[in-house]
Amino acid sequence: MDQIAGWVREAQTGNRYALNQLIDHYQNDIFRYVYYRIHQQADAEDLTQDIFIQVIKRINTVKDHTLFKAWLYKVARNRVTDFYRKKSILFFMGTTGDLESDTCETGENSSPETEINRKEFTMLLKSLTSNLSKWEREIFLMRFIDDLDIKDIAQALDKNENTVKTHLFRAVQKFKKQKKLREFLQLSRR
Amino acid sequence: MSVQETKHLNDDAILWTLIDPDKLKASEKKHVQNCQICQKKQTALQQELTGIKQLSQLFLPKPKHNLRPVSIEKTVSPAFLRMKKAFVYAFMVLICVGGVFGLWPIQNKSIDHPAIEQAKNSIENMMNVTDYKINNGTYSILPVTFQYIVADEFEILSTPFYDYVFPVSTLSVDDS
Repeated sequence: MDQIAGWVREAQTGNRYALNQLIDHYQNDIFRYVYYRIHQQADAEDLTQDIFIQVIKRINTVKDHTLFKAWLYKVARNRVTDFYRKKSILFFMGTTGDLESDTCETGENSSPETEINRKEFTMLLKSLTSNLSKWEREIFLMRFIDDLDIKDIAQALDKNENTVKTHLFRAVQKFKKQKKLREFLQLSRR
Repeated sequence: MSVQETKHLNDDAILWTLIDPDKLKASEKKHVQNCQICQKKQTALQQELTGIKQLSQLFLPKPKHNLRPVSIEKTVSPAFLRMKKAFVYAFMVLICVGGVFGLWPIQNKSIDHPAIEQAKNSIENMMNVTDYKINNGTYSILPVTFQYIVADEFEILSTPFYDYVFPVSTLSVDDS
């Protein structure tokens, strides 16, 4: 954590090496964050790049260097929200397809079995998140897919920690009702 | 051991042990520490939730492109770009004005291909009517070299031989 704070401090002074270290350290996490919210690989890659462009432009606004991770996820969340806003405008103008694509792009080197499992996992995850409220969904995904702790989630969403815990509690309660997803998770563990 | 400590935790309490253990009562905390059944439930739920992260990582496609943004160096000033744009527009206007007033060399260029030139000359020669003129108001369709066979050149129509072959009386219509 101290190392991250050090890189942030150095990046703010214009140190390119430090900035690259930060990007390399977080690029997979941010790509995962974006991908599990839009489920489209190409768009997720573009958005990840956009997010890091925003980071480069605004890194000087980070005051507390230890809160960089929360700040980064806040930028990512805003960018994903913008993406959906633009998409919904294009959807109403009739220049784009569905708001949420049902297609899940396949990995080039993965086996058919992995592809089937990937599609099933994506479908079950979508089924779960569709039953959650906006904040429950965001907090559940941040906690259990992005592996953020409660403190970081609260800071990224500008919310009280107790509020985050309450939303998370409700989300996990709804998760427990998703029998198919739970069975899938149990089977994949074996 | 009190009754509270022997009572198993319900599902919600088990869930709170994962989200915020501080919300549990002291007796509930103590129970979880000693109860294998509650610990088993807690572990099972924990594993399911951890499984989401593991599978999300496993099924995450590998990015096809580098995710690091390409840095764009500022090599030209915005003033230069504005000037460049102005020059392009001025050039386009110049081309249009020149085209309208026929100022460009391509618009005045004559056809000077040898074959076309030759064809043009031959047409002009053919159309030189002085060569075809026989008398005033009379023209022949034949070139100059063949005009001697024209009947009038030999005065055939005015000779007695012609009258002998085609007498005028024979040309008259018989009334009977």
